[in-house]
Amino acid sequence: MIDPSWVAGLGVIIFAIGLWGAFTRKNAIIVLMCIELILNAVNLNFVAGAAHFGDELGWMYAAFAIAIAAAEVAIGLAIFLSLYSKHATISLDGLELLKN
Amino acid sequence: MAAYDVLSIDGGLKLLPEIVLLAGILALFFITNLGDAKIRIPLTRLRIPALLGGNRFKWNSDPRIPGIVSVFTLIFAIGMLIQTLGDDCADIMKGFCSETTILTTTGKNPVHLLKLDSFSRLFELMFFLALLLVSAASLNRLQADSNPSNDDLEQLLDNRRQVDFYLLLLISGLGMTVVAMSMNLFVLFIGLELASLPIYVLVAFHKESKAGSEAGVKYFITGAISSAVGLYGMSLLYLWSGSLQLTVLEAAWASMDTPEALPLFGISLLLVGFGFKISSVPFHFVAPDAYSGASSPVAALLATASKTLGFIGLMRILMIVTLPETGETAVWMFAFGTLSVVTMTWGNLAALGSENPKRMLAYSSVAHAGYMMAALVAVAAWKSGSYTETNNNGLMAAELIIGAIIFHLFVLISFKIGAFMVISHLETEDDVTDMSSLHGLAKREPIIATSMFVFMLALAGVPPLAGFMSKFLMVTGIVQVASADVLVNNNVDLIPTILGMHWTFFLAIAIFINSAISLYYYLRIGVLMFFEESSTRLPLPKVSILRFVIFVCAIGTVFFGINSDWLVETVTNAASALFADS
Repeated sequence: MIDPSWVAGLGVIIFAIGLWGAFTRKNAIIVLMCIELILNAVNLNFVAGAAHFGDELGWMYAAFAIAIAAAEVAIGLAIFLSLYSKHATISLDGLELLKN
Repeated sequence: MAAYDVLSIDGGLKLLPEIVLLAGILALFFITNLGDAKIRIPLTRLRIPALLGGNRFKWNSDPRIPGIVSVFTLIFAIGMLIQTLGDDCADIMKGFCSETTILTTTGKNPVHLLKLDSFSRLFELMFFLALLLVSAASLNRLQADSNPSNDDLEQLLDNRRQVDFYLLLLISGLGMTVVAMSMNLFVLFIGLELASLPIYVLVAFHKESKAGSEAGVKYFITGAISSAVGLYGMSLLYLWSGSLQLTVLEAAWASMDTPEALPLFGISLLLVGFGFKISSVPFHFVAPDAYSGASSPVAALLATASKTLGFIGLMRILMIVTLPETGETAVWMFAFGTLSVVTMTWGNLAALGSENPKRMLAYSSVAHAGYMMAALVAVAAWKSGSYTETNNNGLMAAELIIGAIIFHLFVLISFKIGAFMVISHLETEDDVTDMSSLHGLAKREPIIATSMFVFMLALAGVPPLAGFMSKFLMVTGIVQVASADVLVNNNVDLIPTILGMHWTFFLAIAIFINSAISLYYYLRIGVLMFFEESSTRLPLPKVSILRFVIFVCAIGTVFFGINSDWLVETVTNAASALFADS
């Protein structure tokens, strides 16, 4: 069996990639993908913890986190679609309507 | 303290308000979809009515039906909530409290899931009240918002769209109650997501306007990143302690001799998730955009219920899990104190220069988050002080401060929602983009202008209104904690007394200075309403339900300022329930 610490370590790398992408990318869909990466790092941590502690709740947490991620994508894509229908772009750079 | 299986009859009876909410969600879906559709029985010519689908009947195609269902569901849920309080508080007039019940999972080793006590029940009441005011005020909203000349009128009047709005509102309410009751960090997080995912959609609900979808995207992206980061912090805590039960985490934190990197990192990432909800400083920039793009009732929900969610999370994490033993300094105390001062100052300075009333209210809500964060820091200062060993007043001070935060969150529902409702009323006429909409309101609508002035004074914390009482309690609590060391030494000279005080005393000073700054822009609204000339003398369109909500909010603001005994008793019950051992 793979040592859980390797799984959690992979989680750290994926989290870092996701966070970096979420802050630097300008395309809304790619930002959404980066958020998914962070949520997958969360799943790896939960699974690693469940394997390490022998705690079956960890598996359940991971399953629920997947469901939350799916709901978030659905809502995100719907919001981006309404953005696209009005602004004809999904670039986060063009959002300058709301200013003081 | 009774513990029930969450799926048993006894457990279910304790969750009656949530069951009512669930029934309301189903009713909203079914009632508005009843129609004359028929199903043909195979191989025959017989058609039987299916009742779902097809053309709707005349009575349920009324666009007001969803809103009315939502309002009655919430009133019924509040009634059920009071029904399930138990014998502890037979007389609710003496203060709202509840007997403590724990709901567990089914199985051999039951895990504690939800805790029903004075704390969670009070927050449920607050959420229901906020949602009730918002849904009542939205009853006329979608019709009133559109110009008769607008081609979209047909679409806006359509009750399918209204169903979406109230469905999202009620689902969000269900999530909020889960957050209030949770004993497990992951359950809390699921509740938080259940509450915030519908709110993302509600912010972007005005998809006809460019501003609506832009606000929705900004709010969604920031919210999703911060909640994902918060969840990652939670998973680190899980890796550290092997459980996400708040009680287990508390014990694990207390048994830690020197601060370890993993839990510290986990807690700080978790605070990112809650920091977004209360719109504290690194996340303050999204609040004004979201508030001005969303419709006013939704913005009111963001400023009250959504902020309350974040503070429940902060109280659970900071007050239960990471509050140190007496005499030790909480690791987060100094960082959080600095953050609170930056938050309140930034919010107030930005509000000073804001020309859009909705953005001004958004910045003012950032500032209010700062005040409440400062109060949280004072509780940690109470724990780190040395005087608590000699007298027992320390616990009283902590309860006073937490109670003051809950008090503030409670009364915010009256005057913050009230202020947004006045703007919502102005929007029935035209879009509100700058202060000129408020010009001369007193001559056009004396009662509404006076109510708005009352809300502004309450936000500024002017006696005798509700906002004064909450700020007074917070500052008293902070000063009591900060000065306790000095008072023990019986110092009477002014300068040494102030210098000898704990540094949290300066948080109280920061609150004072910021309140003084904020008076300017709150009073400016009053000046604009009473002394500026308006381009028109015509009254606003008659929207009686909106006027009623504004009126109720104004009465609540005045009432809880003058007669606060009941509320003080209530929040003290809630605060002691938070600190009670579970």
